[in-house]
Amino acid sequence: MRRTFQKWLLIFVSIAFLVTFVTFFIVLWNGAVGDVKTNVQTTLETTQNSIETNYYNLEQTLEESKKDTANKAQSASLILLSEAQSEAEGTGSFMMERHLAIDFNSLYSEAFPNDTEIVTYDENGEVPNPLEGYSPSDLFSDSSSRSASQKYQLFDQYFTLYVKPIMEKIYPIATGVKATSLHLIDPGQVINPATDINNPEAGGYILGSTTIGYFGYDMYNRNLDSSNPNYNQQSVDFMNYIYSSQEATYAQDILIDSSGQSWQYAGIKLNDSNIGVIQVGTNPEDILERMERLSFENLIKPITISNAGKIIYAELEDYEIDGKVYKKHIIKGITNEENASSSWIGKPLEEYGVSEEYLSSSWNEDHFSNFNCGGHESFVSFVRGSNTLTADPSDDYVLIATVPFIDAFASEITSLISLTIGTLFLFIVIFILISLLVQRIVINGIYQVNSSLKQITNGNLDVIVDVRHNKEFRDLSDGINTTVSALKRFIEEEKNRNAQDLALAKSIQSSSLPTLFPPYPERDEFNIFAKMDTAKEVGGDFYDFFFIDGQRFIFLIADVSGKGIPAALFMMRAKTLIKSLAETRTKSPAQIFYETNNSLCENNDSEMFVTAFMAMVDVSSGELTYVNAGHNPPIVVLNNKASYLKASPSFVLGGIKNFKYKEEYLKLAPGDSVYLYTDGVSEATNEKEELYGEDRLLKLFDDIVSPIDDEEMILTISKDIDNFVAGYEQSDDITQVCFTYLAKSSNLKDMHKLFLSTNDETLDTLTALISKELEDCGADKKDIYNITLVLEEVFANIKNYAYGGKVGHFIFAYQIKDEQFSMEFIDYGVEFNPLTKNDPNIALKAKDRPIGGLGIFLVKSLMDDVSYQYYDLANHLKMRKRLKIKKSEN
Amino acid sequence: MKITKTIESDKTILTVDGRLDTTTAPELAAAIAELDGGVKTLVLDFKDLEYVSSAGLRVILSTHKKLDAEGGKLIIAHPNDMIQSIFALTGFIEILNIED
Repeated sequence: MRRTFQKWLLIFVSIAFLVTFVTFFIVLWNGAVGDVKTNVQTTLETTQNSIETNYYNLEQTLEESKKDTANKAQSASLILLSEAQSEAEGTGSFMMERHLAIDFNSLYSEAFPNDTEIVTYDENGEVPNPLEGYSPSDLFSDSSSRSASQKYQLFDQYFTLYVKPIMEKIYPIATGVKATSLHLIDPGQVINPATDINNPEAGGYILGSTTIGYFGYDMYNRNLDSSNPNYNQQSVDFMNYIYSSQEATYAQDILIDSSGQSWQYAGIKLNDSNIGVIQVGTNPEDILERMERLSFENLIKPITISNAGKIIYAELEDYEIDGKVYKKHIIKGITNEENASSSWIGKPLEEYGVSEEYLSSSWNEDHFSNFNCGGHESFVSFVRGSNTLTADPSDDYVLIATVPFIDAFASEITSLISLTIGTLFLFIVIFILISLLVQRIVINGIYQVNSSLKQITNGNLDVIVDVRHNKEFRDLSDGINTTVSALKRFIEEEKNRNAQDLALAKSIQSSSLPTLFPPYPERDEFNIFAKMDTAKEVGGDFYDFFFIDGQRFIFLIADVSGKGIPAALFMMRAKTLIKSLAETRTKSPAQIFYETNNSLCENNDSEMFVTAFMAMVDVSSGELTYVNAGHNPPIVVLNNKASYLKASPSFVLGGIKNFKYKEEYLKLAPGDSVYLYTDGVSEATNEKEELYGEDRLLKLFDDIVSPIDDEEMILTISKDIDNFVAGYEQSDDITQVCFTYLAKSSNLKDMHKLFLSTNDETLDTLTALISKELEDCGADKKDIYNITLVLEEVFANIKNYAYGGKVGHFIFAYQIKDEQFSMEFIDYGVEFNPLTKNDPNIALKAKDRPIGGLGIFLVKSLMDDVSYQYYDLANHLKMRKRLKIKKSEN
Repeated sequence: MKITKTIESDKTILTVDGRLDTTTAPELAAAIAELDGGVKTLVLDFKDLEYVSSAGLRVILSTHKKLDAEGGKLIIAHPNDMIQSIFALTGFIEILNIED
């Protein structure tokens, strides 16, 4: 039961575990997917925010830079304006002083850094040389000893020859411009920091600048074609815009020159004067830096989405495949590349595994799907964004996030494994605990109860069920015990009832059998003894014996088929029939059986029958007539030899009607015996299921000495049967009858008769008995002595000689009458007359005296009268003595 | 029957109590046989002997004969009246050395 319970518990726990496991799995799976989705979405959003924030930041910075440059232009103009005004108002020496302050050497080297001849452009863009033949160093070298005024003159000459003609041609106002109008601007004095301040006058020619080389430069580039590589679009745009703009100031976007330097120009228009425009240029280095930082590699590269997951930045572009051009999303940037040499950058997203369809159509709401990306089955999602800096649709981009399944579930797998192990462990513990608990509470209790019940079932009704460790078991135990007690009571009552019935039946049975022994003490022609040991159930055995007249004695044994009360009743019927028929005195044994049989056959519904052996003996002659109705043949001891009596078998009584029974004859001599028994004897069984058997029975008669003591014989046989059976239950009645024929006639009337064996004990018993009898009569001590002495002598004689030294039996009869004591010894041994022996010669000397012979001498001497006879196959020794009776004192 | 042995300087005494019959006679015979050879004088004290039968008489006679042959002596001491009369009846009174 322990096994069944554990089996089911194990099954249940296993199922629970599996269910839990599967639930975990599903939950974790969904969790993993959910996590991935969230992770991807979040990362994409964050990345996009990052990008767009940076764009926005950059925008802001650019705006600020313009503002900054514009402010610088503003401040520069204010300063220069005030300077110009003061010049216009007052002294006019501004320019001059300025000019004179110039260090020509540095001016020269600045203006002509290559120390080449002065060159200028003519209207064709050619280079005429009005100062041909003059090198600048001639004009302006330090070694020259020219004075400041001389140098000024040269400069004026230069201007007049070089700059002015051009200006006159293009801009009429320029004719009024004098050399003195040129001014070099010291940037440090004007604004700090600024790298470039230019002052083109209203016509567009630079009159003032921080760079000498710019003097006379035509901002409008009138001499150049826009296709000319020297054409400066920026200055042209600047001039055009500033004069068309409503704004006072104008800031240009950042440009990067050929040397990689970044410039931003801003200008202010001075409308009411010839000053023209003040242009300020700055180097917005930090913008570049920021733009640098904006680059995709720097912005997105550090972002990680998972172990092997990637963020991809792609833009829609023309892509050529086999000569044909398609519009495809091209990977512009990708994070987490293992191999830098074989980068995905520049390849179409399609090649990587993400389809165009997916990117262009509105996929599912959250754009979540899965593709095989670069060999890994991955979760994919994307967001679209636009480049807010350029606001150009062609600059729109797509941000894709890919998370390989392995990554997605990596942590989940670890979780799952640890959860599984944890759960398994938990369930094992649960199993053990429940198992133990139930074991303790229930199963052990049940086992104990069951084992007690088993003992009870096996027949031990005294077993108490004592399982008390919880209330339920206490109740169960008490319930069982109460039931068993009640049962025991019922059984007892039933047993008692049965026992009563049985006892009654048995008493009916046994009370009908003669049990008083010796049954005929006054008759000494024979001895008879019978014994019935009933089996547990009332059996059908019986025996009977009775005199039908003075001489004819009947003894019989019978066995009814069956057990119980029906058998007992049948037995009674049979017994009564036989006896009543016998007592008619006119019927022979065969006849008695014939009529009994017929009577029993009638009204024999139960079809019972009885086996029987009956003998009728004439005790005066020893002639025996017997008939056997299917019964075990008896043992007869004839002439000291035992054998089974051969009887022609007749049928049972109560079998078939009108059966003719045959009787047979036997002559018993004195000392002969007839032993009857039922099959309870021969079929007594021991543990090994062996039967006692007829041979074993007969063997007990091997060493007998006739005449046998019937009671002793039967008891010996019973004891031997008991020993054989050795406690094994008796199943059938064991019934025995033993009949010993002794003598024809009886001279022993009125005498006390004893049938004794020649054992030593007999002498003591006999002596004690006779002594007492004589004492009670008041006999003289000497007489008692003498008589007991004689007793001993005769006894010794019989013991030692009558039966060849073997133990035998003899009859002792005595009588005390009329003050005379008489006794008779009857033995069935060898014929021997002790009186014929000569008396010993008592006069002989000791050495001549023979040892023996004294005994009988004493007998003859001490008794008054001794006589001997041999008849009925027995020695009869009779003795008499007159007693001297002491008169009782009054 | 009870036999008590007493050894004195010049004789051995066997006191026989009870009954000397066919059953007990062999005991006496055995007790006598156990005595060392060379017992000169053996006394059978019958003062507490109630009864003697022919079996006892046989033992007494054979013991008497044996001692006699060896040059010893058997004395029967203190037999009671009945035993005495048996001795008388059987002529043993003439043969045995009986001391009252």
